[in-house]
Amino acid sequence: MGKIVDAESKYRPRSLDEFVFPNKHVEEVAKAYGSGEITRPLILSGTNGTGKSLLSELIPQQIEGFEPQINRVRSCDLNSSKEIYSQFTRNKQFDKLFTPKNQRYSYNVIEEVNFDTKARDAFRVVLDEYRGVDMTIMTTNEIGKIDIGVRSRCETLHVPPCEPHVFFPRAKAIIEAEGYSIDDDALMAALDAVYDAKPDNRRYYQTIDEILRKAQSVASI
Amino acid sequence: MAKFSKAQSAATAIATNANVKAVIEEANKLSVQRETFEKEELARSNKALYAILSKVYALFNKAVKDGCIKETAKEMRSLLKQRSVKVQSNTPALTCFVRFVFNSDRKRAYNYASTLMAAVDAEIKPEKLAAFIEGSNGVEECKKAYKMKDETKQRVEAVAAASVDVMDILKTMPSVANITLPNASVDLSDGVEFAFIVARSVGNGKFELLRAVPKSTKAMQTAAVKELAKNLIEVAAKAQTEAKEQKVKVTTEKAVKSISEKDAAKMTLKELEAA
Repeated sequence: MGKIVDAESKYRPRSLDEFVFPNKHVEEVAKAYGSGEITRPLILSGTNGTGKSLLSELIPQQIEGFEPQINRVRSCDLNSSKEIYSQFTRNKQFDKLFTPKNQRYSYNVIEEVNFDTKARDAFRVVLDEYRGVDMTIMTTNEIGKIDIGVRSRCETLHVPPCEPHVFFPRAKAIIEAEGYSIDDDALMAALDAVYDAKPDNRRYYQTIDEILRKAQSVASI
Repeated sequence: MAKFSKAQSAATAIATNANVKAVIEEANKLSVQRETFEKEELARSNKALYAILSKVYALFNKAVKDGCIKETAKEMRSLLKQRSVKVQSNTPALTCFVRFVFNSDRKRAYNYASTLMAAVDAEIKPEKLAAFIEGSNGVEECKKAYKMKDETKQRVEAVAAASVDVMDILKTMPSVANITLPNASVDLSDGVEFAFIVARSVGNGKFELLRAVPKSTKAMQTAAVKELAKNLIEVAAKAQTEAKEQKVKVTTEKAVKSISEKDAAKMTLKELEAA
């Protein structure tokens, strides 16, 4: 059996520059956040395995220039005004003067917001009140379920899965970095088939893992 | 308590039976009246309703054609306000017409307006509206069809298309087995083409055939064909998924065959370390 390579974690992008953007629009908006041009709360929407969570980590990193402290809020903890205020509110004046690690923002990342929180009014209030002090990033598979008032306060960025030709250079680079050469057409056909079966970036990585594992098995015989 | 004599008990029983009979007779008469009402008056009132809706639809189209829709809708809204009927600014103009004519509650207006919207979507002309509503099984079904989400609509359309395929398959497919069931005459009403057999499932695709259902109705056939159609769609989807997964396997294998180890001399230090 060949060596197991977990390409997804081994070659995980460490900055926005290394991220494989599915299209120009996503790249422009994400980089605009990274450069601090946009300060609105951000909703990253899209199906599973498109890199939303990764973007929610890389954007704060890009803004700060180092790995900032992030307040990870569980979406199941947004069910009452009390929960929302306990998660988000602090002394605003204090926050304006002091942020963790001297960061530009206090970051809140809320993953899998696939429902309309019962405490939508409180959530709207904290988004308004802490704008400019907090940077709140949400990820969701079901944008339609998020309260319209919350959506109107945020920039919504749809992150689709990468098309095969977009992901191809990354796949080729990973295989080459592992010490192999691969036929371009054969690799493209494999990526095409993966996309056709289920468009999901994670499946590209799994296929690369499989190719490398089998290649190593063949080489070791 | 004094005991009833046998004669008294018998008399009471006869009187009770007579009362029961009278009530049942009255109930039967009401049932006949209800049937007549449904067949005649309800149908007549539906026809009248559809005729009014057709006229509303035609009037709306005329206002659009004459270029006075904006002013008409504004005037209608103001007149409705005088009647204490509130119409929101985001209410479709067609709904405003419906509310003006029917002056009905919000829910009814919504149902009628949705029916007209469904007709607009289906590009039905006002003179064909009544036939369209009847063909869609009434106002309620029209509304449902109009309000259906795209995804649901697609699913319903797929089932309808597959139902046609299922009927074709059933009409031409050879029988799996021919059996004779006792006392199994079947009444096929309403142009129904298939009979229904009640069977006990014993697993592994085996069935014990028990009885033929004496009457097959259109509803039974439609329900059965719909289920077969859903199954046909599921089987086709599963086969498609399997074919796609198989393609992933085959192309991955081909990619593996095309791979070769890089010449160590040409590898970077980073690549050498990773390898």
